[in-house]
Amino acid sequence: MKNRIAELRKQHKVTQEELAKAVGVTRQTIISLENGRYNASLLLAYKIARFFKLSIENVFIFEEEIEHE
Amino acid sequence: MNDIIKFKKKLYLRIGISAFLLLTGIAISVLVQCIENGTVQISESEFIQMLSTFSGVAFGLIVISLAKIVQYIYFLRNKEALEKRMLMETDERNRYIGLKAWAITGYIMLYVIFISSFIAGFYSIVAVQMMFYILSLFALIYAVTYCILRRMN
Repeated sequence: MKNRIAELRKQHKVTQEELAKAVGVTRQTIISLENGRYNASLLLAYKIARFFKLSIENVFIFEEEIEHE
Repeated sequence: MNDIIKFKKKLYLRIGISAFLLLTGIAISVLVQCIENGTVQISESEFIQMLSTFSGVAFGLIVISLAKIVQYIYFLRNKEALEKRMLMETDERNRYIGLKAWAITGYIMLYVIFISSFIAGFYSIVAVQMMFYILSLFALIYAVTYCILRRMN
């Protein structure tokens, strides 16, 4: 599962620490999400999307759809 | 805010459990002392040979439970440390890693006990029986837990 967290964070000028605090996880979790090493739960995905005022599908990209294209 | 209250309750529960372990450690230590002094007489020689082991277990229980009680009280008194600890424990990635680590440890332990039981067969039949007993108990607990979790989720 790819995501646009790093890109959105830079756009909104938000640090990893600030995002982590806002969504209730550690900074390490944000780093892992950005690197694609960890997939967020539905709840965390929702919180992150809400933080950027976007829908989940605008933040997280389902890879299988890309592979089929 | 509600999460902090819940976490504080969890810490109080942990303090209670640690206090119970501390008392258990003290009780074992006192019992060992009484046996060594001759206040309590026991006839089983194998038990007497295990006294140093029991002393070690008692010492470990006392030290670890005391350290844990001190740590939990520190978290309860320091808001910043409490929030940091709560975040560490509730972070979903940390919980995922913890669960995965338990699963891997469980599988490795099963294989280690299974292989060890064959090696132990050359030395002691009691050890083999004990290992198969542990393996059976492991499988039983897993099956019961799996069934309960399947009903709950």
